[in-house]
Parts: sequence; C-alpha cells; structure tokens
Amino acid sequence: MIILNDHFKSYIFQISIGHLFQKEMDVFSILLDQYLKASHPSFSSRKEISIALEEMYGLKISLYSGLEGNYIVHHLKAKMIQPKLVFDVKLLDNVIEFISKMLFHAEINDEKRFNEEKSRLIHQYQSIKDDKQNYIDYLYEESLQKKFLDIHSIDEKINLLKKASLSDIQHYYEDVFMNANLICFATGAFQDSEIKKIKDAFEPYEKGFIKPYFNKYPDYHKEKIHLEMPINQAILHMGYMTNITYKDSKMSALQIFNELLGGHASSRLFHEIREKRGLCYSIYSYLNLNQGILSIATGVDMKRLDETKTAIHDVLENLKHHIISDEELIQAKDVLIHQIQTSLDRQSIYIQRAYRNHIYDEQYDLNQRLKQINSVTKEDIKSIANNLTCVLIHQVTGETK
Amino acid sequence: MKHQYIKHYDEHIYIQKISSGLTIVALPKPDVKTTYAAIALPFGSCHINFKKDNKTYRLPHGSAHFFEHKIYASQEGDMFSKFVKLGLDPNAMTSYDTTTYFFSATKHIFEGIDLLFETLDHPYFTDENIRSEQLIINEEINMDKDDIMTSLYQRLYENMFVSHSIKADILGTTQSISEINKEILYWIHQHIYQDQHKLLVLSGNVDMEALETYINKLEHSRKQNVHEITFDKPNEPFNVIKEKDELVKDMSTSRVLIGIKLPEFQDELLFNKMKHSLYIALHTMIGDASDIHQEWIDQDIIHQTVQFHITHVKGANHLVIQVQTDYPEVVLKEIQQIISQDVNKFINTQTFNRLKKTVTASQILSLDQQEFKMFQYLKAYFKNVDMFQIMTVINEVEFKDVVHFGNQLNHFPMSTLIARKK
Repeated sequence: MIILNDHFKSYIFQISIGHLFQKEMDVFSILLDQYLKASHPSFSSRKEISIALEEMYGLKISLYSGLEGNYIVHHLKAKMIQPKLVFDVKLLDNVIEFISKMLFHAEINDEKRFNEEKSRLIHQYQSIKDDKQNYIDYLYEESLQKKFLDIHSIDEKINLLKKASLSDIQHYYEDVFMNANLICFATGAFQDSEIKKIKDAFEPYEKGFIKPYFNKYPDYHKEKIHLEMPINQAILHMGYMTNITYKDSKMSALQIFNELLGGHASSRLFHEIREKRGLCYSIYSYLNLNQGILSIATGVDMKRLDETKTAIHDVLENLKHHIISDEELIQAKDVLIHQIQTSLDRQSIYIQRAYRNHIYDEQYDLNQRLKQINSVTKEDIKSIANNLTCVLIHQVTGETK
Repeated sequence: MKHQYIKHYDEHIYIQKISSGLTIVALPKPDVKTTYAAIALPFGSCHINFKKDNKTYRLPHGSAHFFEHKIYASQEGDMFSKFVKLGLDPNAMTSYDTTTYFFSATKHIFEGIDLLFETLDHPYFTDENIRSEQLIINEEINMDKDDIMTSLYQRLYENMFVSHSIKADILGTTQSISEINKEILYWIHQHIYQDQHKLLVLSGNVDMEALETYINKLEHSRKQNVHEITFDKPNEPFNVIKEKDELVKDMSTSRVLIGIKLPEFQDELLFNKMKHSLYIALHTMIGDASDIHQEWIDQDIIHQTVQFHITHVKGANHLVIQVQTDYPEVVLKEIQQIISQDVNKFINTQTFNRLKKTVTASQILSLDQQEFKMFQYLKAYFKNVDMFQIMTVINEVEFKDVVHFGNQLNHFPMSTLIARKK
C-alpha cells in the first residue's frame, strides 16, 4: 500500500482493481460499479447510504471503471475531512469500514435494486447524447479507441445493459472482480496510528500489479468521419499519431509541442484560428500519452469549416518547415513547468502520480522532469511536427434540411 | 496593511486601500506553491443602465463580457501572450455582477500584476478588432445554443423576471453584440474601469514583505479618476410574468424547472443565513436522503439527484430546482406540495445536526483551494462583507432558521417550466 504525507485538510483514498480486458465484461464492470455504490451490506436503501455519508461529514465516494490499455480498471476514490478538524475520533474507523464493506463484502442478491440501478445507468448513457458537445467528444474518442481495441459503441453498450442480469453481475463480482489485481493508495496529514489503521484495513486485500499494455497504433490510413446532428456549430476533431508515448525520451518535447500548438490562450492555433481569423471561440490541442495521440478540437461556423481545416493544416505545415523562435520555445517550456508546479497544490494529483508510478514502474522525480523539459531544443519541436500522421478527421455538422 | 487573523479557520487577511481608491487584499497560505492574483470590478452583464449628470446611459446586452474579451487587445498585439511569456496562466471571467481578470503564477507575480494593470489601463479598441471579436463571440453564443440547460434557463428567466437584465444571457445576443462599438467600450473604460471600483486580491503563496513594497509603488503610480457615474438600481417587481410554461425539446428525458424569486435583504449576512437555511430545508425535503427521493427511485420516476441552486444578484435573487424525469407532472405536483408543507414535518434536530456536519466539513475543505478562496472573497467583498463572516453565519444557522425560511418558500413568486422530450 502506498501512503503519502501532505498538508491538506482532507484524506484521500484510492483503491484500484484491474483485470485484463474482455469485451463482454465492459458492460458488467460499469453495472457493478453502479450496483456497489447503491447497495451496501450495512444499509437497506439508497436513502440510508446517503444518511451514512452525511454522518461521515459528507464523505465523497466515487466508483467508476474504464479501459486502460488492455486492462479494465475500477477506481474507488474517497475523500474525507481530517478527523481532528472535527474532533471525531471514530470518523476514520467508520470510513474504513464503510469502504471495506462496500467493496469487499458486497451482497449481490437484490433483484429490485439491480433493476433500478440498471435503469439509472441506461438513462445516464442515453442522456450523454443531450449534451451535444460532450457527446461529440465522446464519439471522437470512441472512434480513436476502436482502432486500438475492439470495444462497444455507446448504442451497443445501452443494448447490452438492457440484457444484463443480476447473475451476470454476481459472477463478474465473484469470479473476476474479487480475483483481480488490487492496489491501494492514501494521501493526507496522517498520524502514525491512522497509518496503521489504514494499512491493517486495506493491505490484506492487495494483490498483484496493474500493468496495462498499450497497443501500438495499428493502421496509419487517414479516416474521415462526417456525422450530422441538430447543432448550431460544426464540431471538428483531428487526431494525429505521434509515435511518442509515456516514458519515451521525446515525451517532454511532445508536451512542449502541444503547448505551443494549442495548449494555452497564446498558442499558435488560438492565435491564428481564433484571434487572427475569428473562426471559432474555442480551439485547443491535447495529448493522450498512453497511446501517443495528439488531438485538435474546435467548434466553428459551419460555413467556415473548410477554411478552418485549411488554416489548421497551414499552422502544422509552418511548424514542419520552420524552426520556432527561442522566445516561443522558452514560453512553451514555462507554461508546461507552471502547470507541473501548480499541480503540486492539488491533493488529487499526489494519488494520480502514485498510481502512474505504479503502472509504469517509475519513481517520479520533479528535478529530473524539469531537466528533461529544459533540454528540449527547437529542432526537437520541428522533428515532432514532421512525424505527425493524421489518422482521424471527425466532423459533425448540422443536419442538412 | 490592516491584518486580521480568523482563529476559527486559521486564516489571515491583509487589506489596504490606496489613495487612488484601489483596494488590495491578501489571503496568504505559505504551504502552497502557487499564487493566484485577480483584479475584479463590480460590473457584470446585469449592469446596463447608468446615470451621469442626470443623464441616463444604456449599454447593449453583453457589453461587460465583450469588454472583458477585448481589453486584452493592445497596439503591440495580444496582451495574453505577455502573461504567457512570463510563465503565467491568465484568464478572465464575466458573471452577472462581476468581471474578474486573473492569473496563477509560481514566479513573476508582481510583473504579472503590473501586466494586469497595463491591460486594464490601456484599451485599444478599433472597428476592425471589434468586428473580429463579434465573430468570435457569435461562435460562443452558437456553442451555448447547443446546450440544453442554457436554453431552458433562458426560457425560465424570461418567465420569471419582468425587467431585470438577468433575462438576457451574459454573452448578449447576436443582435445586441452587433450594436457594440468602440465608443461604447471606451465609455465603459472611462467611467467604470476606475481604481475606486477595482479590487486586487492575492491568495496562496504571497510574500507579504514584497507585497508591502509593491503597494508603496502603487500608491505613487496609481491615479484617481474623476468620472463619477451611478450604477442604476434594478427595479424588478416581486412577481413573475408567467407562472406555468411548457415546451418540447429534442432530448432523452423530460425536465422540470421550478424558479422561485427570493427577497432582497439590506443585511447581506441575513441573506446568507436564508440561503443556507433554504439549502438545508430543501435537502431534507427533496434531497438524496429524503423520503420522496427514495420513493421516486423505487418507482423509477427519477434517475438523477434533484438539483437546487440559489443565485444572488441584486434585484434578481432566486432559487431554481431542476429534475430530470419522464413524469414531469407528477414530480412538479409533488415538489409543489412538499414545499407548501411545514418544514417541521421533514426535519428534526438529528437530521439538522447531520446536515450541519456536511456543511461544516465542506467549508473547512474549501479553504484548501486557494483559487476558490480568492473568488469567494471578491464575490463577498462586492456585497460589502468578507467571506469569513459569511462562513461564520453559515455555521451559526440554527434549526429554527431552517424552519423559518423553509416555511416562507411557498409564499415567494414561482414560475414552473416543463420541458418535454420530443
């Protein structure tokens, strides 16, 4: 178990449970999370669970699962107030007991609760479509992920959820979830006695490692997807394979490239597409370092979609053929360093970093990280630009009348 | 600087007003690495009417937000890039009653504040850069049009408010922003962007000695502006235009929105007491741990938590309750019945004490977030109180307050909106 010490007023726990991805299990995993959150062996209804959370000073619990490489990983995250701040000597014991029972002593036998939660989950998936911006982002990411792994689409998931039974979840919980690899993390200004309590409670459940493998990009053909929906803007996403993933020696160069391309409000895309040409309100680029993908996203006037694509192309071509200025390089490095340093003031980042250290077998060293960033050259940036391959253009426009 | 130590929360406040009228506040926290700095003004989208020398001025809707975007233009180019060059992360935000220009930093803090002043002191508005901004904001408006909740709130506000400018979106409309020109923006700059209206707040890692030196420099360099104007007070009657409304929309689940107008209070702390008493009352009546919530879940009537939010804007205080359900009539009727009943039926001292625990914890935890603290402070400041006074009032809410304010809810003007899925 990894226990970190910090200066914040809250304690955060994360329990990560991972097993190898199997397509038929992804729906069971999300359904199990939903069921576990809503049914607790010590309480008979959702209402009672809500009351218990309030009694624990508004304990915040989230339980979700997702695909990480060739793994499905469930993460339980819990955030509680430091017991000494509210003079409650039993609070930590109560929280530990609540989490342990919820995860490790679940009783998956309530057909009525199961159907309620299934219905809630189906509804949540259906309502993703209501938030059009998010839904289009979701569709883009889904299209990219499908290139790596055979996963279900959102509509397939909804159909499979409808068919799933309580016994599917029982089997998944007993045979897969309880036998999966499990690691625990905690961060807070703990006292020694509290550390002992936390370890005694969670360490016995730890087993194995979560070491996902991220497939190499299989297909370098550019795919174009054009969808129509009742929207007022055209939403454009462009995906580029960089061939640089987490822990690659060129990772810092790629992060700096991303910053100067579209990482902030003074980046090339922001300046050229928004400020100079007034084509959009929002344009940015972002990275998926597990898979080495750089994405560009924007929402533009439908009539100016082609103009926007050409302008984005021109920005990238310019970076391919011209060396950036010293000033621009320093600026992008400063932005990245600022983000890293600022993140140290967020408690959740400590757990995220510890989890990443685990899955990538590394020890985070801030000084080493800053050294890597500072050693990136202008030529490195040009080289990144020249090694980008556009693999997906995903555009959604208003419906043709 | 005047120093105040809030023992209960272990927080320090330093405050000073200089002769130009500018107020400077520091909320230092030595444990953290980041500094947040903001210059804020009590000027937001709802401020469109002004008086000067017995003359009335009216700005187009969306002017405050448009100004916030365009003030970053300068003759040498975009001021944003100057912040980025210093390794700072700048941003700006317009709300109904405030505009805030801010950045986060781990170095060059005072150079960053200098840049904030340079940005706000030297406007550069041209016909061309205004035309270009109109295109950008139009895209922001289009983006909002694709958001279901924004459009439903818009409709609800149209029904709830008679004349208050909260009826118009913060961004304005395509029509209203087309009316904005450089004369209007310069007028705003000259009359509103004066030091007497500005508040500079720093939170997080603040070097207090360096700040004192910096304030001395400001004392010599900042000038007082002489343009006196009056912000027109809203004259919104305490009633709604339309009590019931319905519409049909392309969405997966129908929704119910209940808008309730809340009264004005001379005493800001009293408003906060009402606000938090109402939150507790609503939580017990229709929140996650209420009987009706469990009943609706058992009957598959709702799939998500009932949401309620109170907005505090002069002349337009209101509460909105929002539910996603495919049984909108049933849910609306039941909520209306519940809030018309005596709150004592839903709450006892045990429930009250339990909810107070969550309130206390969330207040303490919020102090870990330096950016949030900065925003809370300036929001409260423009309402003539400090955030720690509000926190104290919230902690002092008693059982009788919850009953008292909860029982008034049914007597306030209400407008309901059912949005049915297509």
